[in-house]
Amino acid sequence: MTAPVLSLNDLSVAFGQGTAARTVVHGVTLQVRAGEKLAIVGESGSGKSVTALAIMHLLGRSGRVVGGSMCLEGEDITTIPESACRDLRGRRVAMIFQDPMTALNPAFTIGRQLVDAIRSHDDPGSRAAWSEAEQLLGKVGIDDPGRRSAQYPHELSGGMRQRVLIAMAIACRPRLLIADEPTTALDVTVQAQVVALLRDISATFGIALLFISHNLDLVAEFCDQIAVMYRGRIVESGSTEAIFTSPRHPYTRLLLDSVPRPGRPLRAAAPGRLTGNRSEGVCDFLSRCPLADTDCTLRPTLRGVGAHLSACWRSA
Amino acid sequence: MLDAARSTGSPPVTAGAGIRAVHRLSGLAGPMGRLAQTRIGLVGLVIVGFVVLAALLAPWLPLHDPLDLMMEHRLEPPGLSFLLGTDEVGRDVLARLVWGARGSLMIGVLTVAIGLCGGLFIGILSGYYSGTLVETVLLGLMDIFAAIPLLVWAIAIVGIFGTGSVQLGPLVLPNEAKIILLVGLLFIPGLARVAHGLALAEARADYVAARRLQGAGSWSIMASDILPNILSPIFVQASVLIGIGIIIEASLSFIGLGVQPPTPSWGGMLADARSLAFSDEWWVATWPGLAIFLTVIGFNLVGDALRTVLDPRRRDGGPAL
Amino acid sequence: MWFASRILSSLAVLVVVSALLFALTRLTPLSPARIVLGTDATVEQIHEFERDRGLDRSLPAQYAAWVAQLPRSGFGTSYITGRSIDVELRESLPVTVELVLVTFLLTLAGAIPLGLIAGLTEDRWPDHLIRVLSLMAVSVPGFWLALILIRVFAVRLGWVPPIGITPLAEGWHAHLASLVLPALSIALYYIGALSRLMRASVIEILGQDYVRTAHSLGLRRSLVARYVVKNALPPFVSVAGMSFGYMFGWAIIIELVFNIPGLSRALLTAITQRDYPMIQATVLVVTAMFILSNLAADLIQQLINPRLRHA
Repeated sequence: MTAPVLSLNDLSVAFGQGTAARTVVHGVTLQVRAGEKLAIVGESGSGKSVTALAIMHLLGRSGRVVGGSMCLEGEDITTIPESACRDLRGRRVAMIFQDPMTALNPAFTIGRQLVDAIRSHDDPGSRAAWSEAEQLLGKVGIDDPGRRSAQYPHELSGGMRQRVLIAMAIACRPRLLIADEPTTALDVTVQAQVVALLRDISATFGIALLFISHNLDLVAEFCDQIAVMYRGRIVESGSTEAIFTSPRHPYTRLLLDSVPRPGRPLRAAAPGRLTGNRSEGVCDFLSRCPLADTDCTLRPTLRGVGAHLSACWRSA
Repeated sequence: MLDAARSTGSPPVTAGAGIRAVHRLSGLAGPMGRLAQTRIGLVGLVIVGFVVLAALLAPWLPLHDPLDLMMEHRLEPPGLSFLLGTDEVGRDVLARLVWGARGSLMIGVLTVAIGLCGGLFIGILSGYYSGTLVETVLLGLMDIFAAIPLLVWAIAIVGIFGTGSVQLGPLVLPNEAKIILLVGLLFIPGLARVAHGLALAEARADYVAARRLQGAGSWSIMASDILPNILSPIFVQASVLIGIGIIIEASLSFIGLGVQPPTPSWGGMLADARSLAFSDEWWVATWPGLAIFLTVIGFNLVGDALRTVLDPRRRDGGPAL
Repeated sequence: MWFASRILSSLAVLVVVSALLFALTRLTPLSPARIVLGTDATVEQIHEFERDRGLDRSLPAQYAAWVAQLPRSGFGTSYITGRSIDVELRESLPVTVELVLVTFLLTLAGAIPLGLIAGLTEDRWPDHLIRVLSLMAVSVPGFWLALILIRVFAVRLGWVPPIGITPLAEGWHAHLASLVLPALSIALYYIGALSRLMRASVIEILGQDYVRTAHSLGLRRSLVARYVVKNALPPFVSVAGMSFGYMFGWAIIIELVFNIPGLSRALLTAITQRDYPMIQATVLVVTAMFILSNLAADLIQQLINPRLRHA
């Protein structure tokens, strides 16, 4: 087996300073190998996007890594100077964001933005960059790249813009591509196309893919591994097949049950909301868990259950 | 006031539970309290409060007569008997400064009051009836008025009608009243544009539709739902405009078209002291300028603080003059 | 097409505003005939004066006649001095336009970098410093600032002449030096106001998704800065254009302080002499400048903002 492209070991991230500091990601451990597609699944506020931003070193001024480490192709990138960040971003890790409507600069043509991305690492020169840009547009399935590259973002549809953003993200051949809910803002038919494109790209270029989503169906379709996050912790992880056929954590089961299927009554993902106070040391899911027991006043850790890992005392 | 087109971004309206949106400004008490908690707001309020107090209490303060020509005390430097010195004809600078505050504040506040009344009325009406002829006509009118460079027209109109009192039917308008009317009128288009953008967003909110279904009349919705909800960003604009009104008054008085001598005014005092700028009698020209400067800073600080307290995401406007 | 309709609407506004101005100068409490002919003039003399100049006709008729003669004989002659108003304006307008241009350039040179620095260093010391300075700049009355500048730089230090404009004939260096103080007196307010606007735009743009995209691709900081500037420019241009027009108003006041023979002298003299045609002509020229600069700003904005261009 090859060494993982990305490995997070016990990663914790906090926002704010001093007494106002709040830890939003707790001890996340995961690995993605080349060509592999890992999905992080969870409801909003579960810490999945923050994990991604931490890898990109894009947490902003108030956020920081407070524990654990991040390794990219075997190199520790937990604390690197700002100058090294620029080398990291785009060239080794790239990211696609949720809303393609706002993620492109409205004042420049898409060709210009693509060329800027290409030339920001190992500048091949203007002419080569422009032809490279058109090739990239072709690769992400945009017809007539010559004409399209002279257009502004507002002249393109949402799906087309997301394709452009994918082209920009793979422009410098990163080893790892993070896609943060890349299809949520798109129409259902376009969603499928974008997912297919991501799968192709991962396969063609051997790029490791970290796919963040709240949509289990989408994830089931093309990811190899799934990590379910709840309140900043991974509560269950394993192969897609294992998770779908025998979910061990009650939260995962609720998530799976909440996906509407014909002929089955719809149930809410979990009663209660995320806003409740966190009691230290207690299982985070306690207040919403249908299986809660006295054991659960002690927080469970991830442990092997069958073919995968689950953080629940009751997952036999 | 210039980014009216961009400021249409709808303010967060919490319509969900109630039929009426939560009024973000019920009276001034709430924001004023929070205003005082921000540092710049507190400084601004203290400055404005100090000037207002001085202006109100002028007759009861132990001051010299601002009109008294004490020729034996001409151009006395600041000292114990004349705290801020005396001017070229022996008048006490401090007394004139305090009395001058009255005119400056009155003109600043009243011009903005006129601008607010007109601007809110036109803005809300055109925003509520958006897409109709009412909006087209009102906005077209505002576009025309907005094409008027305020200061030059103010100078010219006062120049044309003279600085004396004007008989308008049964009313005798002193020059100050003319300036207030004039500048107030010229403030209307800018405020109307801002109010229009805000009212437009409110008029489209669900709670207004709900009120209509309840059978509330248009005027009632405009007055009791839309108006209170758009007041806060308008007040930010208004506090900045008061400062501008004060500067306009001072400028007009400075070129002899504003408050007429011997009534003390800050701009007039500076006009008298113009020639002294070259000599050693620095205080005569320093104090009134400093008074204008500090008062306008005060109003601008209040405006800045109001913006942070009420509407943090709103941008700064450009110059209104 | 957009250009044509925008220009037409500007023209329409100019026509309406000039009519308003025309009406105002005719609503004067004192008949120009009385001013010119003096208090001893007989009723017949007054009537004759008014008939000669068409002042006895209705307001719309007078306006139509005035507009009709504009292309032929310009603004006509002053009742008071008998001089051609056009000649007078040809002497005074360029002086003011030059002053305003220098002011405008000074404003851009100050406001753009200061606003950028403040926005890029939000809530750190350069931002705090610039914000305090810009608050002071928008609060200081220009004519008082002028007096202080004269006192410090002309009287005390003797670097520049205290009043007047040194003619170009004495060298452009001296000429420009004499423009610095009056231009600065007007510009400071606009540097403050426009740098605040620029700062706000920059901060807003820095929070946009596309800036995060740029960072996530590892773009150079200088390139990200260019992204920010390009997006901050359109709103800035429209406000700057409006400011250019407003500057003429301040020029009237500041020229008086510096004793500069521009529009200010023309207008203020006309006011004291109750020379209504002259007042009307001066104000109209300034208003036209204002409308024109707004129009220019709109056109430039159209050119640099791709979303507008294709709309």
